[in-house]
Amino acid sequence: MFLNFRAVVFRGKNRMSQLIDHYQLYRVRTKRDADAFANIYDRYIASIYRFVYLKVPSKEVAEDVAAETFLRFWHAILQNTEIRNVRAFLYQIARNLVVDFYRKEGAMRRVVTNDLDDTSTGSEGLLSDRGRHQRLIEARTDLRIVRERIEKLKEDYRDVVTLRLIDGLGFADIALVLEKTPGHVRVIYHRAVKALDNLSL
Amino acid sequence: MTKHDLLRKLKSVRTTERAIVPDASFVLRTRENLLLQVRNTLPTRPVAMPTRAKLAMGSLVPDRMMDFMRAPVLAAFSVFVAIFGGSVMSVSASSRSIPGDFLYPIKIATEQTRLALTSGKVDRLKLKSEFVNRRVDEIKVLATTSDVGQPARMKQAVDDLKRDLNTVKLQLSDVQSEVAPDTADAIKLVDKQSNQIVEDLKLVKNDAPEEVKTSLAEAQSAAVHTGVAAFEMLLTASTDPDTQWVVSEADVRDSINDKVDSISATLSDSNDKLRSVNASSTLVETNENPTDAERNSLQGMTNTTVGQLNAASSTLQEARVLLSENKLGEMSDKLLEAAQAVSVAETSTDHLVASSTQAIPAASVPVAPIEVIEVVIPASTTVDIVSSDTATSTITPP
Repeated sequence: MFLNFRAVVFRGKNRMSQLIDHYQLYRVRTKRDADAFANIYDRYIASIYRFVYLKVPSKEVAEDVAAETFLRFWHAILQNTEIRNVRAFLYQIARNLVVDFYRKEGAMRRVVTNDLDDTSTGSEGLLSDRGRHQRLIEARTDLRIVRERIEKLKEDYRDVVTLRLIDGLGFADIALVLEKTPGHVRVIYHRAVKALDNLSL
Repeated sequence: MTKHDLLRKLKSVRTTERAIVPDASFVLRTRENLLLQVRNTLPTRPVAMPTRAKLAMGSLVPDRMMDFMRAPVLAAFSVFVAIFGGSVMSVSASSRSIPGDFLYPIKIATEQTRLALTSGKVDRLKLKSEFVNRRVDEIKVLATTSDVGQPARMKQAVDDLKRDLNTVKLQLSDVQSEVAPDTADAIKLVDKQSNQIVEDLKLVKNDAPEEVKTSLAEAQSAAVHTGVAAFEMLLTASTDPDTQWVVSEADVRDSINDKVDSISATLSDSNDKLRSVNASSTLVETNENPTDAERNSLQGMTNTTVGQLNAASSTLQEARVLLSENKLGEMSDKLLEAAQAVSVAETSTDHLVASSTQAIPAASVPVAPIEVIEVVIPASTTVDIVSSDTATSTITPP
């Protein structure tokens, strides 16, 4: 009962958030309101930065990717691209940029292993104390271990598990990021969790 | 490592990720750069209303709700069309109706509804001006019909026009304080429209039934007053630096010239009518002679009419002098005075023409030709005025 209530509250908040996004997008598209675009930026810059941060080798790259995400989002608005969910759309752009980054570098594995040992690439904004610094190193190490493990899963499974369990996206948002239906994403997620059981851990 | 350990590590990564905060300087710098780019590339072309409505529906109504609502909304819409479709078609058909028609009240009700739903004062003025044009068109259509009730229907239409013209005049004073960009355009529209209405009514009056002519003259006068009110507003705006909407002096001069030309043309027409009375009196031969009483009455009417035409001519001349001396501030009163004088002279001329067609056929012998004196009015217009002495002689039988 309590869980259901929490789920209802979460869905309500999510829908309200989407409604606000759509209203800001509507203002940008019809009223030519640059401030409405700024509002969308303010709402999502932190989460997009977080989403990118642990996936790229350095703070500078994370900042570049986050900034480029919003620039591409603006270009999509200019081209009248249909945007059904602003949040998911931004995550989709950010994810594609991260993929592009590693494709260009041609060394995803190398970067993942190298950067985890490179404590100097941490964010000054994040590492304001030694405790947090330590946690970041641990998180990168954990992420490397997790990635090595789930690397054995199919690509679809890997993406859904990462977006769901690390980035905390809902099934509907993951569906938009991966351009699948929410039902399909749900099925993939459950199969991926089962597949984790079958991995020779 | 078990699945449990893996999920624990995932949870740990997620917790750490949530604690990550971007640098404030990076957030601010990127925001400024993005906003600069957004403002530079923001399209300036306004979005069309249908596109705006589509975007609003697509953006603000969730997809699921759209899917859920589509069928009931379509069903409700079908029922609505079935019930009210006839009314919509009736409104459409009523747009071509004229006073006295069965659907005419629907047309008027539709106009009232549109006016009530229009919010801006300037927009209301424009809309009312459009409806005034419709009244004039209705009068023109009625003038060409020949059914029994035509005079009554026409009189009703002319009365409606007078009422609407007075409403436009009141609305003009309402928009004076408006700062809308199209305020000046709306006033210029009323100004030009009033001149056109005067011309149209003049043509209609030539062939209109006698009982409607007085109403038509009153409607003409109402149009002149509305035009002068618009002119006064243009004049005020051109001289008052505090006025929000810009009017050039050329606009004001155009407005005056149009009005003076219109009054001159009316005066000229009246003069022509008077000359036609003389011409007909010299050519027509009948077997009957007018009585002395009829003759004296016609002489008196002719004297009066000629006197009024002369008075109107001199008032108009005074107006032209004021215009040439650039005394625009005094022009509105003089224009009204001239229009009033011309209107009176015109009515008298019409009355004289009507009376002479009944009495003059008795003039069996040609009379001395009419003597015309030229009253030269400054600028472009020259108005011929018949001298009272010679005019009197035109209807005197031998």
